Amino acid sequence: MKMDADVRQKLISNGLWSLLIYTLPVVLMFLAFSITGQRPWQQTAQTTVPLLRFYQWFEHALGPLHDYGLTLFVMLLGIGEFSFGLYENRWTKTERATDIACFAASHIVLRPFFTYVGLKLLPIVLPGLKNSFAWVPFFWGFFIICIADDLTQYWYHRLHHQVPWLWRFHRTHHSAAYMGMAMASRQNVIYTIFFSQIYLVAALVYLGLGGPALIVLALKGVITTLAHSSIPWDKPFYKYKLLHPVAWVLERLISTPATHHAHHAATTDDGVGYYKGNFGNMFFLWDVIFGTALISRKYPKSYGISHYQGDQWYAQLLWPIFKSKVEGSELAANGPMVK
Amino acid sequence: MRLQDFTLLGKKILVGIVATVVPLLILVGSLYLTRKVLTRDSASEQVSSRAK
Repeated sequence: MKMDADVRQKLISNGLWSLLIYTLPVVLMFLAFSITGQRPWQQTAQTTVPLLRFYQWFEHALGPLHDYGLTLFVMLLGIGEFSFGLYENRWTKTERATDIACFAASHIVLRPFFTYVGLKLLPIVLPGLKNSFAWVPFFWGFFIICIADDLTQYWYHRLHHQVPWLWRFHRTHHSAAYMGMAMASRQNVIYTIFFSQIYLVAALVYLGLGGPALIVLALKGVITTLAHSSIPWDKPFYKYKLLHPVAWVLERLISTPATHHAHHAATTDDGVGYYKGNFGNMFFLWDVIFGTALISRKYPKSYGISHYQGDQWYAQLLWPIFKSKVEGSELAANGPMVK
Repeated sequence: MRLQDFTLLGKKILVGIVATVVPLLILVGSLYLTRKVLTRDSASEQVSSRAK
């Protein structure tokens, strides 16, 4: 299956624009330093901003739970969704097994793996560069990490939708016929293990941007989990006229349940579903900038993949190492490359 | 796993590496240049003010 010439053209032009966007926070920081005369690398001690101090206090207050704060948040959200019956009767045995296996792989196996790689590999790959950019002020570091992390994930995600041979690595994330907190970590292991933004941010943390990265990743974890959740927290913003200006900004800036649920829709025929776009994770702004956005205030009637017939959990978690036994499935040994 | 699966994995890893390395080089290069250019500027300003 070949890529459309139009899609290829857009990928190239949007990709080139992205290279400029990556430099934007550093260019603005350069201009700010030029105007103000600030030279933070000449200061002997770094000051800690109140937001980071609060986060460090909060982490300390959580005690042994601080490493798994987001995991705990996701689990509580899941219990809430389950208690309110938001999965209805679509959470079948296969889907339960897939969700639980993906959640466990992501939170129990891959997180320690990424930490190990960060601690052991980076001093070898970037020798002598530890904390080289620790002079970057918190505000600018926050700006840099926001763009570095989320724009990279936007591209990683978009490529897995628009490049046909990459799609099957991402298919597991879209196969469920429901939405919920588990969707955020429902991924094929190969897709997750090569998440580019994780290694990029790990390298930036090693180079000295650890403080801003802590805040950005906490914020991103909350936004992306809530965008996948079946709790429609954005509905009041569309319902009350007073909140409409806030809704207008929110739905363009970050992923909301409405825009992200549209990305998980089973069809685009209803004018609500839009699995061909809305690729943003924390920021929806990338979709607005690159013309891949469909802003919706309605929720799709059905989710998932129209031709999905419930592949085994191990095939969804570890394809292409393990193949599906479902005849004609994209994950089967001789399955078609459908998109 | 068949040979074509290994090829697919290899291509996928390559995409991941490019998507990591390109922004990293842009950011490291621009941060390095920021410091280098502004340090040189402030050094030359100090020299010229001393000469006056």
